[in-house]
Amino acid sequence: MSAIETAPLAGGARAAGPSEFRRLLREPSAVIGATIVLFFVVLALFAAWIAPYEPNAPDWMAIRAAPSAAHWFGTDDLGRDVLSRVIFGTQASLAAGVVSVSVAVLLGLPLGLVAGYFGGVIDMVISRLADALLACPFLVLAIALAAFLGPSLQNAMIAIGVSAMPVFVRVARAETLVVCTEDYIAAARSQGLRDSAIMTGQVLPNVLAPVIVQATLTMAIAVLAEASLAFLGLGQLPPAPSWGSMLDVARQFLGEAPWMAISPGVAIIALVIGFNLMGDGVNDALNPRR
Amino acid sequence: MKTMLLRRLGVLLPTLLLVSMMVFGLQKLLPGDPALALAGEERNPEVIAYLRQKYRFNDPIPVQYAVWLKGVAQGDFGTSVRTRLPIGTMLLQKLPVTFELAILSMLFALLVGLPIGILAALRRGTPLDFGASLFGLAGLSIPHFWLGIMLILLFSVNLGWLPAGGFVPPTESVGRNLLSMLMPALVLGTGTAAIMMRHVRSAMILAMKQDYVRTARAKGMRERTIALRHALPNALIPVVTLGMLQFGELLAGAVLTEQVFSIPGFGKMIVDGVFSRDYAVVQAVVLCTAAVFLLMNLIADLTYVLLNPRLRK
Repeated sequence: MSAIETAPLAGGARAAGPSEFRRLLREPSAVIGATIVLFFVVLALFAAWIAPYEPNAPDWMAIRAAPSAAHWFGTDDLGRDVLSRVIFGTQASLAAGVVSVSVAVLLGLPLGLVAGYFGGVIDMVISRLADALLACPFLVLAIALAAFLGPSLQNAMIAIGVSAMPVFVRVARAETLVVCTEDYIAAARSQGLRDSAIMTGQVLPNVLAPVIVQATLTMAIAVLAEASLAFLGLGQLPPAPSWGSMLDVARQFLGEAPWMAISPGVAIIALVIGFNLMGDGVNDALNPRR
Repeated sequence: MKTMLLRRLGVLLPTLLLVSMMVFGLQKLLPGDPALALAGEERNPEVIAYLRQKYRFNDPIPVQYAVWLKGVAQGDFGTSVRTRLPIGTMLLQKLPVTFELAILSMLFALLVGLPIGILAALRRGTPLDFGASLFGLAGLSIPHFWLGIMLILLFSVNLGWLPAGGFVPPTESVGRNLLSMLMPALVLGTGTAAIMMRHVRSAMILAMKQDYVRTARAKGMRERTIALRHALPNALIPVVTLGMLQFGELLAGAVLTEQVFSIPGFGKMIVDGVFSRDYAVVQAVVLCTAAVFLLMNLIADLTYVLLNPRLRK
């Protein structure tokens, strides 16, 4: 898994409005990506109705049963229906994507705003902290944090969010520096508006677009990271279904039941591709330089 | 150049110091008594007493940090509670394995990413370019560990051509060593190959639009010669820098690959450390990975300046 890359041309993006939304709908990659993601959102929300079986219900008469009409994706080592577990596993992956990116944005955006707006010592301290976090490769930091916090989906999401946070500090800071040179900021200052009012009323709306682009791209990385942590035993704990932990179990039965390994992997790839395409499309739509 | 090096070192050292503070601070995330947690599951009173004394857990946190940092600066990362070996010695044993894996993965990424990127740029808008884009998207979206599992299924379980895991040191047999590293290097290198391909493609497209390319065309040079002799060397400058940065990423990415293929490297060391609650090992691996990562960043910056004559001035 690669580290988080900042959206390459995110700088200069404008705040999203009706015209940007229309442009987004004209981007084929954004539409395809959003459709894929929407498909998984529906799966996650209506898993209880869509899944043919209860995900944790073992069937001792159908242990490691090959795909059939009764079990489309086969069953696992405890006779549980793989399709049902893949459908329910969507909840953990999407939750990880949304919650960890929210954690990263909620921590990184204010820090980046403050650093870019005030500059000086505050900027230096925040930037050096972000640099230090960025020096630790994303997955290694997430593993270390998850290890010290203890294995659980909640802690995995916190670990991924904190590890992804410095990228948002950088994006928000860089954009704030550009916005602060604009005349309307000087005008707001000359009117005697407080710094907090300028930051939230004038600067924040104008730095949101690149942050949204980065957040969409980071969702893909967060989904991969959650699957990786679960694969290592540091994410969603069994018996709750998670694509990563399903693959960890499947690895032990590759010779006898290869089907156990195929569908969770395909699901991860599809969701990650969905987020990546959506991120590229959002970048193209919101970034006038492209 | 010297000034730049000094300036970069001036940034690198404080960053590394901050990283060390963060890594030390990880201990404080542990619930309860850190000595108990560091001692692992054995809860041996002697070990607990030794750890309490060694890390001065009764002292103020800055003192504890200073003691820990002094040890780290002297190469003393503590002793593993699982293996009872000095962690510094373990790092020296594991690092070459991961370095070999990273180097082989980088070779694979270069062999695949460069030609595909160049061809995609020169045949822009063709099915080949579209195929390259799909490869790029797939390379960035496929989880390493799943690709590894699928390759094991195909080449080890079904065809029986390659070993499913394990590591043969090159000192024992170079051939068997390369055979055991073939699948892991391919798995780890796929993501980097995709990133390389995308950057080479963009850089080549940009280079082919430059004035010197137009001049070469006006002189009647063949398109292939223009691409390979004039555009490519310029397009490769940022790619060399990217390669350095990606090498640091490969060291981190090795965690999952080593786990899938049971390779006793740096990545497996951190995972084993996590599950045996060998927290000092986890801290040491994070710190060393960050140090290597920062060093690769520094080398990347210097290489960029060396390769770009305009920046040298």
